[in-house]
Amino acid sequence: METSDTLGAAPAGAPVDVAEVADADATAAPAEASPASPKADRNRWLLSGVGATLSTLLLLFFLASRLYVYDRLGPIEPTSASVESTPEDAAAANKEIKDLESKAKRAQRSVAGMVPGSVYVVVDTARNKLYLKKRDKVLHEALCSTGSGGLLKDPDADRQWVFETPRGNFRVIRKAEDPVWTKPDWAFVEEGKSVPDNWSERRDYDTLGNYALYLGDGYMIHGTLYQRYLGRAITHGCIRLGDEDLERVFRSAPVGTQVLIF
Amino acid sequence: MKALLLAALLGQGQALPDVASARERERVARLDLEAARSKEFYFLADAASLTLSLKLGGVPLATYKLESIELGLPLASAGEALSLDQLYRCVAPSREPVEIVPGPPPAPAASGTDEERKPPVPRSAVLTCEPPLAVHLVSASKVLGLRERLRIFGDRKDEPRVRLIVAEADAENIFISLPAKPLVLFSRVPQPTPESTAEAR
Repeated sequence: METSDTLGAAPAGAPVDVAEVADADATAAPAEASPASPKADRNRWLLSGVGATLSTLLLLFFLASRLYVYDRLGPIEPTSASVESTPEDAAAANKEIKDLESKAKRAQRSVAGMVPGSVYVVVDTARNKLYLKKRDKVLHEALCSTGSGGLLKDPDADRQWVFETPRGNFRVIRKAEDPVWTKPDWAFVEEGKSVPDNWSERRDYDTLGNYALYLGDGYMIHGTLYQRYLGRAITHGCIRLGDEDLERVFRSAPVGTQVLIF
Repeated sequence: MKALLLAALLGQGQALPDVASARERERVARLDLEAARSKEFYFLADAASLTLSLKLGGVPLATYKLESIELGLPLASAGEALSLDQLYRCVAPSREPVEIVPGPPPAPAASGTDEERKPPVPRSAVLTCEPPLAVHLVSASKVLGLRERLRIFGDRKDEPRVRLIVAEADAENIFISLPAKPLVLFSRVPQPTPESTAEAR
């Protein structure tokens, strides 16, 4: 009502539009002492009101188009009672159920058969735990250290390393007692040292502990000088174990043992 | 089960045997086998036991407790049914690593509390899946921040969503060990009731 009154009050030949309001503002702004006319004020309020309403409607439309309706997901509803069911229906249903159950059991047996029957290793990188298992049974549980996930950049060259323990299904490809570590470039970069040209300077006789189980691509399960860090994610990707746990895993897991890391 | 079969054979007006549950059991077992053979990590989200199991090659690796599983549909298509009966191939967001500052290592025998260089653990993760589905993993204890809400809001692609509310105790572990490209399978097999267990014996 107020809108039409206001528009009706505007004199003919002087239509009020945005440009006019803008002009009015432009002329009024430098001379603050001379206030804008009441008519211009009303028009300005009117236009801002219409603008605000349109914007709100657009926003509401946009929000509504982006809303989701959530429903809790539970077990399926069992087949409900049917007053029309006949003995033939029931017999057909029973036949179908028998067939389905037979297929389900076959598939379940196949999945169960995929769990290694010999000793295997599971590494949980979130809890920093290593499990020696056989079928569903845990033979041994140990605290370990896994990859820090840290990023190291070489300040002298355009290269970088991310220290993640790789996830997936691996196998022990080689085992060694008193392993010697040939330090890669990142070991020097991390310590702020220059990378040596002489390979003999890379040999390290202490860091890996008494045993190492090689998983490929330079990753190993080995010992550590930093026993106090066991249970924390601080390594460069290898899996570190305490001395006794390492010996137990080394003695129990032959070459070919599956190592599942997640 | 025997009681159900007998009831069904007695004639009209009786409940039909539970074909729906048998179909669901067979579907889940079949897809579980398919996922196990894929050699990929896969999650089995069980709406009956409210658990999320992580498996690889059929071997169960970890089981996380869920507070709830919620299915979300865009308002415009809320009336449509969605069965979640497929094996979804998903991609998880990558985590930002923390940069290491080069320097001498600490002494092996030193004691004390050294800082662990731990990348920040996210409070939620969205798996983008094919067939189109977004799986939102959210910690039950965390209220999403404005930035996360806006990100999820802006990510909308009209696809259905599943919200897995992970129990507080398991949330951090699941976010740390989230595989990069997991498969996701949903199970709605009803858990056996004490009666049916007794009958089975």
